[in-house]
This record gives sequence, C-alpha cells and structure tokens, in this order.
Amino acid sequence: MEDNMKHLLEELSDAPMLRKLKSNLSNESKDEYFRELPEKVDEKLSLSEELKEAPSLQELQTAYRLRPDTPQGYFEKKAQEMADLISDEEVIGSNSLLMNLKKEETANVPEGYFEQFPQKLDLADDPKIIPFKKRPLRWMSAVAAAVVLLVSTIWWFSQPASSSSEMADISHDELMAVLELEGYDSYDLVEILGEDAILETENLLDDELSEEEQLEEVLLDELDFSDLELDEYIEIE
Amino acid sequence: MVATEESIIVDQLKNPELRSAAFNTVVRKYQRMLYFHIRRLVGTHEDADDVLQNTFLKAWRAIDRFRADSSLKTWLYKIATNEALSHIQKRAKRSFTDIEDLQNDLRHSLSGGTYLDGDEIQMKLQRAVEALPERQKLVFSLRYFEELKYDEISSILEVSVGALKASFHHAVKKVEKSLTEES
Repeated sequence: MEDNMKHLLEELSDAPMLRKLKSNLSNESKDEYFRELPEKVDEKLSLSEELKEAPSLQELQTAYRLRPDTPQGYFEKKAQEMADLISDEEVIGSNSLLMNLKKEETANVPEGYFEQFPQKLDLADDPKIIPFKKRPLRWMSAVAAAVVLLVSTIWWFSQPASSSSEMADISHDELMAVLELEGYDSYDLVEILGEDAILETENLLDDELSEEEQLEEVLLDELDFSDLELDEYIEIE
Repeated sequence: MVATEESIIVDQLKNPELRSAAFNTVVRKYQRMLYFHIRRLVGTHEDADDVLQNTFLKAWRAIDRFRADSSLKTWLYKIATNEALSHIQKRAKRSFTDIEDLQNDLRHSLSGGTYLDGDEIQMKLQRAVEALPERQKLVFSLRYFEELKYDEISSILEVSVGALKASFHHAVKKVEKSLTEES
C-alpha cells in the first residue's frame, strides 16, 4: 500500500498541485481518521436513539396550538419559512460561492439618497389622474387631439420646407394605437402633456373652437418638448 | 387579536386625514429593498431612481385599490417589477435594440466599475445574474437577493410555486457554473 502511494507521488512529480493535494492526505491522518470513526458513528447512533424517545414535533405543535395566545396560522407560517430555508440551502448548497455572497449588497448608491428620497416624492403636486377607462370619450378625444397636434408641430418644424404633409393622413385613433403599442399608457400621456393642457384642449373641443392655431397655442404654452422623444414615431410614419 | 404594524398602516392609508403621513412611512420602510430590486433589473442608479419614484407614485394613485388580501410588500414589489420591466422595454425601443443587446451592454458596463464596489467576485456574480433570461433573473433576484418566500414571488409574478422553484433551481445552477468557470 505504501509502495503504491510512493509510486503514485512519483507519477505526479510533474503535477505539483495534484501531488501536494495527494500528500496532504497522509497515511498518518488517514489512520487517525479511521481510528476515530467508530466512536463518532456510535455517538451519532446514540443521539438518534435519544431523539426517538423525545415527543414528536407534531405533539409539540398540538400542545402549543391549544395555548390561547398562539397567533392563528403561526405554525403554518413557521413551517413555510422553514421549508423555504431548507429548500434554499438544498438548492444553493450551504458552502457554495452563492451562499457566501448572499448577504452582501454591492450597488453604489449616492450618499444620503435614502434619507432624501421621501422628500423627492412630491405627492401633493401629483395630478389626480383618472384611468382611461373611466374617462368620458370627450376627454380621450382631447388627449388624442393634443397628441396629434404636438406630433404635427414637432414634425412640421423638423422637416425641410419642400416636404409633403404626410402627418395629416394619420388619424387620432391610429396615433393613439401607436403610442399605446410603444408602451405609453394614459398616465404617461397625461404626465407628458400635463393635465392642464388636456383640460384646456377639452374645453376648446367643448366650445367647438378646435382650430389648429388655438390648440397649438395651448400646447406650446404648456409643453416641454424635451420630455417627449417622438422622433422615432415620426420616422416610422 | 393584536394589530400588526402593517394592519395599522393599511388602516391609516384608508383614512384621508392620515393617508399622506402613512404613505410616507410606507416609502421609508420599503424604499431601500425596492431600490435594490429595481437596480438589479435596470442597472444604473439614475434609472433605478426614476423607476422607484414611478413605483411609489403609482402606488399612491392606486392606494384606494389596494386590498389587504396581499401584503403591502408584495403589492409594492409587483408594481416595482412591472415598472422596471416596462422601463427596460421602453429603453430598448428608444435605442432600437432588443433586450438581449441591452443586457449585453449592462454586462459590459458592470466591468467598468460604475455599479460595484470593486469586489471582483461580486462583479462576477452580477454578470452571471445579468446573463440569465429576463424571467429567470427576476425569480433569482427575488429569491436570492430579496429573500422573498415562494408564495410571495408567486403573487408578484403570477407563476405557480412549483414553476418558481424549478426556475430558481435552474438559475442557481447557471450562476454557480458561471462563477466557478470564471474564478
């Protein structure tokens, strides 16, 4: 046996890492391990015998469940938490790199960000937005009209003088469909256009004063074009 | 029955006079965990900040529709997840790239050290997670980093617990493999 190990180590002479690893498991340590093994097995066996005589977890649960101060669903919740914990360790492996990295938070966050964040949320100035489905049709028309005018205006200013006005052919419905398809919902549109602009457009429609110049005036007063990246839609159309 | 902290906050959110102060408590309580969840999905601080603000604004607008049959935390995670995914999609469309390309960009930007504290193994972990498919990354992030329970993730993503466990298992295998290959 000893000869065999000697030969093996000689064969590994060109592989220092493997040789070192093999050498670490010396005959002496192996002998010690096997000498202690029966005792360790006995210890584990006697412990499991003791556990057999202990009250079962089920009995303990029942006893505690009868106590009036035990919150309802306590054991079910604990059991789920334990199951989650066990399954995590089983899945990840307690000694794996992943398990060791688990607790560390690595993103760089500007100093004081979380202290200042709640103040940044200006809920008081947030427009009271009514979801699209609850809005009257008139309101939706105003939004569509505002969007069409906005796009037309941007497009008109971005084109050479000789270009033909293809934008005039796009219906309100088509434009709204494109915007929705591209991920803009009613909240985004109202945020981009501003509720006041929409309401003003709505009033103009009510008064049958939907001339393009007047609507355009409202929009130009109310809107910040830098908020809206509509170049891609114009190119698509 | 003793009222929990959450049930007190939920009651206050229903009271118009206390609503604003209660919502401020909600923001302070959940901002940090939501931020890191969003940040893992969108990458940069600026984007995470935008998405976090939108998350709380949408929660504020929809507070009347919150039903106590889910927890506030689960509800907020759901809004944050949807907002982050929607943000990623919009960003991809605006730059005329698909989400796969965006993920590649994000992986490359990570090595620039803008996101991490310089710990190499952490950077490898982030890169490995970024390389996961979108849905698997979500599941991995919610379970591994956020330590949410499977039933919570199930209500956020509307996926069965069994499917989540399978997805997490696959994600863990991929990430662990990637870590050991690289190190």
